[in-house]
Amino acid sequence: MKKQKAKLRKRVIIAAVFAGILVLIAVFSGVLAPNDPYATNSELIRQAPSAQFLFGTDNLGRCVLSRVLIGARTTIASTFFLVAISFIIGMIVGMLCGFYGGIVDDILMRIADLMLAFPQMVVAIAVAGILGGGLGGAMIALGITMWTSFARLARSHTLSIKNEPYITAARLQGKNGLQIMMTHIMPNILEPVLINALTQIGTTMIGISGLSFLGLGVVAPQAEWGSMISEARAYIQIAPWAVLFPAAATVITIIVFNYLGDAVMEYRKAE
Amino acid sequence: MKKKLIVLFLALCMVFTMTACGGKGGGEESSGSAGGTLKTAASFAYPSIDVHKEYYGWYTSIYGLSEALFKFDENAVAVDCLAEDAVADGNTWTITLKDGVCFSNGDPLTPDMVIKNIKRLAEVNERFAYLGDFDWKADGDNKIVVDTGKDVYPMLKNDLASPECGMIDLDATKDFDKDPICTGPFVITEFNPEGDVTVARNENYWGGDVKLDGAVFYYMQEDDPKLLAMQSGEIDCYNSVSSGALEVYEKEPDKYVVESVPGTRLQYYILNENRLDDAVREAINLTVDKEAIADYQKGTVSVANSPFPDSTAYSKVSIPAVDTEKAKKLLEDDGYTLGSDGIYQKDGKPLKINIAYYAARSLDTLAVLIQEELKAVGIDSYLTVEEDPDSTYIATADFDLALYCMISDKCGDPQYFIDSTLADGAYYNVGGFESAECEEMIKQLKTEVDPDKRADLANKIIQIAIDDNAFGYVGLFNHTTVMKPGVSGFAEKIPFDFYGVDANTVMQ
Repeated sequence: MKKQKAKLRKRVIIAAVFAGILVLIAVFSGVLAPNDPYATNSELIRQAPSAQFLFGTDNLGRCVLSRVLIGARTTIASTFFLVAISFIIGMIVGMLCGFYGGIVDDILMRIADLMLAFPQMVVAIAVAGILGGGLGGAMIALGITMWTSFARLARSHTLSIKNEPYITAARLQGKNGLQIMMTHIMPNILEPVLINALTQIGTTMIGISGLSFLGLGVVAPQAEWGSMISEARAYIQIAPWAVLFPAAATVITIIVFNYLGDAVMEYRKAE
Repeated sequence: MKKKLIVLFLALCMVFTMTACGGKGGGEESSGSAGGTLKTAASFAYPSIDVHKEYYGWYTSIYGLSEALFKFDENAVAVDCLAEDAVADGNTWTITLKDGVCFSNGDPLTPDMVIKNIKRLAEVNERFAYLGDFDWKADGDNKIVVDTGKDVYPMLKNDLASPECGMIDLDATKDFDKDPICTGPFVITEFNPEGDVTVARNENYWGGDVKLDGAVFYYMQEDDPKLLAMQSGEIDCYNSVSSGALEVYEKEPDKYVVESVPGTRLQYYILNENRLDDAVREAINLTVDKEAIADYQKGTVSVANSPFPDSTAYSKVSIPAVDTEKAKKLLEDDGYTLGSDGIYQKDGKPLKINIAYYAARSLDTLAVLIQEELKAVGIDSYLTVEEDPDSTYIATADFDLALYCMISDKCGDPQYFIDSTLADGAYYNVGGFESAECEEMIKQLKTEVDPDKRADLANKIIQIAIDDNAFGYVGLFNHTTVMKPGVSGFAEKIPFDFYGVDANTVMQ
């Protein structure tokens, strides 16, 4: 059992290291990018990978490596921000529903049911279309349905602990609902919801890149992996590198964050 | 977890495999033969094929179903089709129909039927409502006399060559939306609204033998499926080839025949005079390098030296050459100072403009390139992309620089473009361009009969707009068609988008 736990911990550490590297790349992408990711050059259109341009150039002569690096910032930062916001909203709603129950629970959970009645991507495409182009619109579109999973999880965990003796003791001490939720419930339900947030990173990244691929995400010329794939697919046969590298970056990043989420979840189960 | 990893690994492999396989054109080739059924791709598909409504006539013309009284040749000149000729005498036109013209059901095309068609067109299509104001009279078995009222109307023959003026057997047609009876070399066999269309040879075609047995038009919006369908042999030809696909075809000249002729679809921008002062507008026009922009659109676009193809008499205008130093000086003389961030500012406010565009006709590429070029001289900008320009920035004029793409010359004459973009209150004159001199000349253009004088007037009108820095004409799309060897007669040498198969289209 101990050996198994050590093995799982090792997995978590490895995944966390890789995820950390990706986050560092995103943070320092401005320094790491060898060229201006937005500088166009008609003489360098669709250049194959070379010493000067390791990932080649795109249809407008822009350095693909620099755009992949800058795109990491856009993609990873927007994913983290969206997951964080959804996590916070979901936690608040879930705790309120679980703790107070009654009409508050009924109303908020029915709204959540309503959101879950439609496939997430379908709702996101519709909302992003209505809001028009832009990363903000895409994030709102995905966030509309995303908070519900956090809310449901937070609610079920709140329900399971709200009648514990230490909560009753807190009540008897005269603490109000807000104080109990902040000091006793939240710390106890944080871990499972946080792990859920980790597993949501990959899905969210696919969502943001997917919307950008469809032209409903970032506005040109902003570098983002989904929009880079979309722009480059028209000439995939003559410049496959312009599709390949942002696609590989997307796949690798999703694998790393999904692996991290799964590793943490399994480690917690073992505990 | 293992399952997830396997799925993701397979997805990664798929991406690699797809890109690796891309370069191989290969695939089965459809067998070619004299006659046969031509398979091609159509970029648009409509809910109806009523020739007179909306722009549906463009597609009935492409499908080879409908024909107008006249048609445009390779030099954009209106030549005979269902009618032999149209002769003007002051405000009266006499149109002579050809002998033996009949509909696909065998009924003859009579002057009365032509008049009924024109009246229906004027009723159902707002763009042709003016034709209803003219007095149309049948004269004998094959003549129509048109009285255009108090003003002469010099462009009637060209207007009647528009595909919307296609003739329908109004007495015999039961379903105008799905099966109009027309005079073209093909008849409809299967029409899927907003989908694929199949046509077959018109056995009663008045113009002689029709070489093909039929044609299938697959609805393909995107460029990639067209390229892949061409490579796999699923289609035999298509037009409006993208620059990426063009490069692929040009690498294999033995497998693909590419024809490219200068077209009339113009990429241009409107500068908002209500928001940008003269110096800024002039600086923008001195900065935008249309030759560099055309380089990026490899082979699919020619530099626009005017809104019209260089070969026309009404394209003789002078546009100042790119001069970024002069652009900077203009801004500085206008009170702008260069900030530490490399962007000009005035009264502490950076010079930042809103570039509105829609992501079609390569306008997204133009938007990014223009943004880059402007930034290099110190004009900052942000891009606003809209799905439908007509209902957004064209309707509200909420832009500083608006990109648009339209056909500048659809009837071998400059009047349509001038009326649409430069006349007071014109639909696309939304940037605040006004000129009394220009307006006066537009009035003259409407009634001028002499082609040379018309060209001269058009040149003067366009020059005023250029000198006012109201617009920037960037590029003219080439009409590019790709065909398998042996396919010909797919309107590949005609600069207009509204022709496709005809009686002489052949595949061997």
